[in-house]
Parts: sequence; C-alpha cells; structure tokens
Amino acid sequence: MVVIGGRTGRDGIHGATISSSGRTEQSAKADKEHVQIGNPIEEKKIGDAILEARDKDLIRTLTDCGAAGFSSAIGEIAENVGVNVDISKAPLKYEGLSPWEIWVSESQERMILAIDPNNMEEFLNVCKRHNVEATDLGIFDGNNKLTVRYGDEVVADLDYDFLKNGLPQKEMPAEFKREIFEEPEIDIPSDWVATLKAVLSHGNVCSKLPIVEQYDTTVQGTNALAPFGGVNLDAPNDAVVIRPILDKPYGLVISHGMNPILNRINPERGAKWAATEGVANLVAVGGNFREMVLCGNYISPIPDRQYMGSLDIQVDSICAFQDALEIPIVSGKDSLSSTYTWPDGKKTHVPPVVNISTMGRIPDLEKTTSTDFKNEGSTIVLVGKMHKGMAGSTYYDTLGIVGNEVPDVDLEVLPHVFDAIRNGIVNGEITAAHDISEGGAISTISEMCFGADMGVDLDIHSGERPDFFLFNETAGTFIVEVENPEKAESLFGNVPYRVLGKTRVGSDMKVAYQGKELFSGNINELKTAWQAPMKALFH
Amino acid sequence: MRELQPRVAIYKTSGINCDAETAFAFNLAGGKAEIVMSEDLKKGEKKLFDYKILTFPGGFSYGDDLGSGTVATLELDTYLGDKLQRFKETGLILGICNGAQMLVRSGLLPMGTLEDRQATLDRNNSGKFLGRPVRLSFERSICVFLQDPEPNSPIELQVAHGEGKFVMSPSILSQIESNRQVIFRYVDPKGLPTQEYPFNPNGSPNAIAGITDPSGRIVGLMPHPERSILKSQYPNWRRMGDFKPQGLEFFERMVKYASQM
Repeated sequence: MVVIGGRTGRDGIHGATISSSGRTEQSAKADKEHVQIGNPIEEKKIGDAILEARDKDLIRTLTDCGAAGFSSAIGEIAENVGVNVDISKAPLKYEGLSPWEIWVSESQERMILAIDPNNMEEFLNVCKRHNVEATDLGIFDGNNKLTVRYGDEVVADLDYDFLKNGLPQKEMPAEFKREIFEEPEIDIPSDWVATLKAVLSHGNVCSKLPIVEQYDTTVQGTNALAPFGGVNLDAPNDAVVIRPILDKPYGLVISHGMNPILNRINPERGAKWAATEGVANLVAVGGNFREMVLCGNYISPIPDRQYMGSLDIQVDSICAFQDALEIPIVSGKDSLSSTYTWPDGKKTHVPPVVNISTMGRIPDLEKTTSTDFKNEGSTIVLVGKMHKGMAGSTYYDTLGIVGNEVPDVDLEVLPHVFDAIRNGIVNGEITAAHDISEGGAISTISEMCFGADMGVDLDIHSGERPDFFLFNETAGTFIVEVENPEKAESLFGNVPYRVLGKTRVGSDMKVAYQGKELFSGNINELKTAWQAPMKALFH
Repeated sequence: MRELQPRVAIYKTSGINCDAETAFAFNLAGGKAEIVMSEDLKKGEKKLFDYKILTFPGGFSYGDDLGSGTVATLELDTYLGDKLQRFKETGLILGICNGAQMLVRSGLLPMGTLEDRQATLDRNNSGKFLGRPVRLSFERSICVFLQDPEPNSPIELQVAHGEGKFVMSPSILSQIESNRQVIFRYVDPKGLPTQEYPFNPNGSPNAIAGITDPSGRIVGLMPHPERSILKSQYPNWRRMGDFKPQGLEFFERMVKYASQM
C-alpha cells in the first residue's frame, strides 16, 4: 500500500467535521486551521504519474485522500481484505505530528494505491520521473482488520465488521409542509421590450462570458464546443463536447441542471426540473440520453424536519426520473450544513438545491450542434411538452412573485422528445438547438439570435397568454432551427411541437400574437441588456 | 543528414499541461514527437542532440513560482545551458505560452543568447487571465520556416495566459522591429495591429504576439497554434465550410524545415 503526492501536515485536520457543521461569525477565525492548503502543481504531477502507471498496468486500485485523510482512504480501500500500515513512514511537512494527526490529516494531493510488489520498482521509477514522492506504508494482509502502527506501536486495531456495521443508523425525522406563496393576478406587459430586458439581465439569465474567459477552456486541445460561440463568440452553448482522444472522433458530452428557487416551492417538481434540465442540455448539443450517466449533488441547510422532508422528496423525485429514463446515477454528494447562524441567533439558510451533472458519450462529435442560428429564413420550432406552471420563473421574479405552480415535466413524453432532438441533430436537419430554461422561450430565442447576428419573425398563434407562453420555463422543451415546416413535421410528428416563426436578416425581433404585432425589439439592444450585469462587475 | 520524420522533443517539467496536444500537433504535421521529462535530460537518459526540434509547451512550470517560467528557466540554464545555446546550430527551438516565457527569461529571445537578457513577459494590462480566440497577422520576418510562400494571414488562434505582455526597452523594441524578428501581431476585426482589449489580450507593445531570435531559428509565441490543428478545435467550426486548420500549417512548415536541416 503506497501513498503518493503531497506530504502530510496539520492542515485540514477535522476539515470534514467542520464543513459538516454550520457557520457562524467565528468560522473564519476558529476554523481556518481546518482548511486544507491546495497545491495544483502537485495534483498535476500526481495525475501525470498515475496516467503513465495506468498505461503500464502497474496499479491494482487507488483512491484519493479526501475527507478524514488516511483514515477514510486507507480504511475504505482495504475494506474487503484488511491492511497493516505503519504511518510513521508517511512523509511529513514538518516534525511533531502525533499518530492521530497523521491519521486524520486532510492535507491535499495525496493518493493511496495498491501496487503488486513485483511492480513496485517500476512504479517508483514512474513517480520519480514525474517528481512525485511515493512511500510504501504497508501491506494488504488479508486479515480483515485495520491495523495501524506507528513504528512498533499499534495505535489502532479494529475489526472490519465493527468498522462497517458498528455505528447504528441515525434516524432523522422528516416532514414537509408546503409553503403557500402569494400569487396575485398580473397584467400582460404594457412595455414588452422593457420586460424582456428585465428578464435577460436577471442574474440567472444574463451572460457570464467575463467569468468564463478567466478560465482556460481550450487546454489540451480537446474542446469541440466552446462555452460561447456564434459569429461574435458571445452566444452561450448548452453543454461541453470534449474530444478525449485527439485522433479519434469520439465525443464526451458534459452538462448540468440546477435551479435555486423551485425546490423551495415544490421539491418533487424542482428536483425533476433539475434532472430534466441537465439531460436536456446534453441532448441539445446532440447527446444521447441512452448513453449517459448522472451525478447528483444535494445542498441543503442543516436539516430540521422540514428540510429533511424536502430532501426526502427530492431524492424520491430523482429516483423516479432515473427509473423513467433508465439513466444511472453513478456518483454524488450531499452537503447538509449550509446554514449560517448570526450572533443574535438568527439563521440564514441556503435554498435547498440539487445539481444534476451529466456525462454521455457519442460516436462522432462532428454530429453535434451549437445554439446560434445558422441560416436566414429558416424555421424556428418549439419542441416538447410545455406545462402551464409559472412559479419560480425569472419572469415572476422580476415582478416580485414566487408563485405556487412549478412547471411539471411529463416523463412519458420526455424520452421521445429527447430522441427526436438527437435524431434531428445527428442527421443534420437541426442546424441549431437550445434548450429552454431560465428566462423561457423568448430568452432562448434571443440568445440564438445573438449568436447569429440575425433577427426573427415570430407568431404565437395559440390561445394562452403571450407572457405566460414566452416566459414559461418548463424543462425538457427546446427551440430548434430547421429548414422548413415540412422538416419540422417529419422530425417531430410524434411529439408535441409548434412552429413559431422564421429567422430573418437584420436585427429586428418581431413578435406577433394571433396575427397582430405584439412587440418589436432590437437584437443588439437586447444583447446589451443581457451582457450589462457581468460587464459592470468584471471590466 | 536528412531525416524524413524529424524527431521533436516536447520538454516537460512539473506543471506543464500542454505537452500531449503539442506532441499530437507535431505528429500530425509529419514529425516524430516524444515527451521528454526534464529528469530524462538531466540524467542523460535522453540526449538533446538526438532531436531536430526542441519545444517548450504551455502550462504553469513549477507553479510559475517567482514569476512565470522562472524556476524552469533556472533549471534549464543550470542543466542544459551550454547545450541549449548550441542547439540552434542543428535544430529549431519553439516556446509556446509558458514555453515562450521560459525562452524570454533565459535570454534566448529576443537576442538568441543566454548571456544577454533584454526582455520579459509581464502581467496582462487587464490584470486578468484571458482565454479566448484572437486574430493574428503574420509579419514578413526572418523566421527560417515562415519564408516562401508567405503564410496566409490573418489567422485565428487561442490565447490563454495572464502574463503575455512583451516588455523591453525602446531601443531593443526598435532593434527587433528593424531586424524583422516579430512573427505575429494581434489584429482587430479589420485586420490591423491593435492595442485594443480583448483583440490584443495583454497590451503588448506594437501588438507583438510572437518573436524570433536573430538567427530566425528560435521562436516564442504567446498564442497556442497546437490548439488549432483540428477543425473541431475552432469555436465556430459548425459555421465554417471545409478549411485547413491554421495551427497545423505552422507545425508543418516547422517540421519540413527541420527535416532539411
């Protein structure tokens, strides 16, 4: 059993314990020594050494030292065999650490590996070549016990049966009472352009380009779908497409779905929205929901009965989503400590959220698309089943309303919509696609225009209120560009869809409602409003 | 002696993160690239003069402690100094981003000698790291592998750096200009050299993005040609018809020249 990477110090002792409790005004001072000190260069070296050792087939298994350091990494990696380690051999940052401090330190950039003794020399050479320190700490001895020594002294001797089964399951009472929010009648906007600008410049909708540009999105040459594209390189895409092996056409698609408001109103629909949004982002670039996995991260205040109830409902909802679409969740995490206690005892809670990350594979990354409209005079289509709920929408938020009816996703229809979108992208008949999320269909269409330097003619011919239609945020609905209405029918004949209009030369966004002009906006002005909030902060 | 496939050393130290794609670019361009760890050269397990091209790829060598590329340059100087100085007699040297920072800190750029350090690469005027595509014009320079036919211009390449502003005295600046040692300049949408952010991402004087030494055999670039060798690496490849990736041409010219050295 070998440890490689950074040395062990006092930093990060009880880091996991502290991060699992709430925050107070004392946290910044009292807890700072529990914070681990990161070193990205060390991490990069370890990564390179591990890749080389992997390619040479020198590693039996490995795990990183995360929360609780050696105690969890070594404890977990040996759970089916048992291990005998001497932690006095662990390289230290400085002298003076007690055995227990070495055992629970959360110093970063350390990995625990199981190496066949016959491969040890070669493995150590690989590490040396990459300037990575590697130390033999002990053996997996097959005794089914966790034996920790400090030199000759045994400092821990625990049976694995006790380690795995010795702690009684904690019971946490849960009960969720739905909060009812005021939902006054509102008028149809009188100044449509101002309303649209308010939505586009909302923090959850506005352009994040000045933030993204501060990261290297093209390193290693694998990026095949830029976070921002289009003629002026400023229109957002829905997911990332990676070419993991540069001389192969295979693509890896990664995306996310999360909403900070909906779970507060309705945890069942909010969680379903997050999962649907994550997968929809993947599908919108040409990903295949049948070839993907999910990762779920739950963030909650310190759970009382109510928050525990919310969490319970969210988990059930994600499970139902997983069952309906047959997509496995392979990883995840929870952070149930996001509560701040003020000196006077008042508490501030984060909104309870779940973030669903997705990862899927595609055989040919050339068969993907971006959000920017490509052609003048092409047909704009809304695909997917829209639900009438407006609660938690950006539009409502700009009016100071929360609402009660969260948009619901029809899990019977959804897989067929995903298939139709993907098929259209793969066969090249969908030339631009963007999923509808915060800001609704009209914000989605606006972003597609920003990327094209084009305008649109739209006609909402249905019976519903135009504002509730244009700003609705049902997840799993898409705006796509196809050549003509016949193409739309051939692609989407089996799923809910409607033709909304056409792309046009110039910068006018003309929107009609049942044949009469509703409003006319200028794409460049809308874009300025959409870019303004982050430009103000980052330039 | 002519080699059909010139061997290319991709020099790697701790913290370098553009080695794999740079090796891939050289291989695609007809070279035979190999990632050479600094350890391999120090121990003599690999020999510098077995290679025709020596490349310093991008990254954050040794965490850029003490300034970008500083520690790696010290290591280079200590272990390879003399050999490095002589390498251009039989081969070409390329530094990209962090690699360019190393070449400038060593003195090999712009004056071509470890004895005479006349420039540095300083923090971007914006004070921020910037990762985005930029447009560049090729200059008529003395770079040996960018002669006839003249390369197409302007081209689009990615930049990703926080310290990319060439800084040198006015007399050195005018010297490298009159020597035609400038290879690339940042240009605006009209194709003219620019100081305007973000077209010029760092505020480099005379919009300088890449330079060569007086022999034309040592080249340092802040932009990353190795990230524009496949069509799918272009942010807007879906809007473009068939085209030849412009970074690839750069590597092909370099490999072709080296194969005749």
